[in-house]
Amino acid sequence: MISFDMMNIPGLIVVLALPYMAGYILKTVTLRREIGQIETYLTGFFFLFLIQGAVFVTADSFMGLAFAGLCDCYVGMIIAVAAVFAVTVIINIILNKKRGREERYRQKLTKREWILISLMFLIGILVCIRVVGTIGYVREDFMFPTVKTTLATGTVNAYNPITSRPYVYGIINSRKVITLPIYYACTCAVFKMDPILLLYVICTIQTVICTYFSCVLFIIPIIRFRERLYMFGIFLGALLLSGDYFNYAIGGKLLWNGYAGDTIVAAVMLPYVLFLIMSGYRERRLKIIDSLKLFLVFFSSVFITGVAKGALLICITGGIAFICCIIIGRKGAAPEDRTLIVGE
Amino acid sequence: MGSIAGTMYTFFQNSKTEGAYMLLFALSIVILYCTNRERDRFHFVYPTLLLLGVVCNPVTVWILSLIFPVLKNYSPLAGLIPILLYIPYGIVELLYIIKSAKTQRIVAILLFLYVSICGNFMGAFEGNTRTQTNYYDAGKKEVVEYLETNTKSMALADDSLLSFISSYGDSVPLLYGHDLLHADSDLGIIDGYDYEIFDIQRMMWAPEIYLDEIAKVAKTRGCDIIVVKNFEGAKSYTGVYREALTTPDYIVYRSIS
Repeated sequence: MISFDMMNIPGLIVVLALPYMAGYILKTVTLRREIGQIETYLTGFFFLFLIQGAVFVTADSFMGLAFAGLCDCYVGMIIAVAAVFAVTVIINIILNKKRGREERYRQKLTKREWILISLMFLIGILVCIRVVGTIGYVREDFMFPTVKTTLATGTVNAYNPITSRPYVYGIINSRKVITLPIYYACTCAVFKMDPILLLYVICTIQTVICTYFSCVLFIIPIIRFRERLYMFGIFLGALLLSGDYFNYAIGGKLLWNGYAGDTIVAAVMLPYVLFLIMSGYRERRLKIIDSLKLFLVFFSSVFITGVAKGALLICITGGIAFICCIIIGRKGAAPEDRTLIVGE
Repeated sequence: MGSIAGTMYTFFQNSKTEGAYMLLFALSIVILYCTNRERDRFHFVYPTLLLLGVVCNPVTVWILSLIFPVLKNYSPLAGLIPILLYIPYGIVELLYIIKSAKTQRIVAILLFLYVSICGNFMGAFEGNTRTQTNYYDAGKKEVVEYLETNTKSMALADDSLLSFISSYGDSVPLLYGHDLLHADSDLGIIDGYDYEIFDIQRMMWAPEIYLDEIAKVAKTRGCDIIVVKNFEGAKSYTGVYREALTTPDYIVYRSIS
């Protein structure tokens, strides 16, 4: 189980909060103030993968940095994101004061909705406990030995810990293997975290949170009733809690391999891509900002899983969804309304 | 048609023994077809059927496997089946058909129990794909512990053990690691292995036939331990190797010299 020595609370907070900061910066830069908090976190999540992939591949391919140098780049990235976030928040506060803050009308929750949201929250906590519970079983995968070896040897290129052969041969695989484990190794090194804690708990919980967000984002325009949305969240949590059910489906993978690139692609990115395409279809046009988001997701998936898997899956799903939209035509398409309705 | 149905049946059997969630998934599509308006059917039901038609189609896998060897089987595509989205959505739609609040609550609890029992709620139920017994394999652990204490130069291990060794016994040097298993499927050369290594790996699949040849090659490559799957009529020695440990699943041969 997790011991207190493995904990690094500031590191944990930064790892979990960094996507939101990155998303907030993106939201402000693109002047899309209507983007909700959930989507902000998700876009930031993808944006971070894109940045880390770009930084690590560039640094490794062209600059030939040592692992310590990459960690410095990583620290620089975190400081830059945090600083820009702080500046952006301050500017937004000042601008809001000047313009006069808009009065937000918040609809009160009904008693039944309070019960449902509490249940949903409880199930979310149970999912986190389940994730912590799985730490007892060390996984048979590439990632953990590679992260451990990277930390131990301080090398940029990942080495097979057993055969001691470098993973740098082959274009596709080298990119696939280098980016994500090195990213996790940098996080461990910078925040002095145990790789077991980072991979099997923090990253898995982050992926579970993002999966929740992604699925809810996808379903909001369709369900529209807040009560039903909470019910959806409860059963989604039940599926995650029972997550050993289906060897290749995402529920099982989330608990055991939530830190792996293909799990993130399938559990977080695919619902998000479907959401973007569906939104574009319902609004009868795909906005430039949506195209940018698709681009962001696509390249993030390439960096974290490699061209052969992640991008292919994204392309297949996106392609099928797009073809569906074309085949079906514009029959019945209606402008999207994401406002949730209270009560039934 | 029959062969396609057979392939599909095998696929589902391999993926989930009981198929309870696939049943729920299929039911949720039916529920969504019945409850949704025509417009929403176009958004949810038809695209899913099209997705299933593409994803669960042997022809798709065959065509894609020609272009991308990584897609040799259904598993990468099976992740596309949107179980996580559809089952909760189908359940919600079903629940809100029911007008009586009391009945709605009872049905919700029953469905929650069904979802939990068919899966492995909080790790409480056995019989699923990744329980403690089949994941943390005691038989494998015994072999790996032996390797950790007895391997002097290098070990040659069966494919099923390779990834386990990398997690539990990362101090054991191996002739080849589990990266070799992905050599065909990633479109590139993963590692600097030569062809003889690939030959040994293939021979390791049938130790009952090739054990002597494996021993010869392993000796020339400097391995002092060989781990093969247990099989009937296994010899207690082969070449310079003799049997050192036997478990229900594996036999460990150790070099005499």
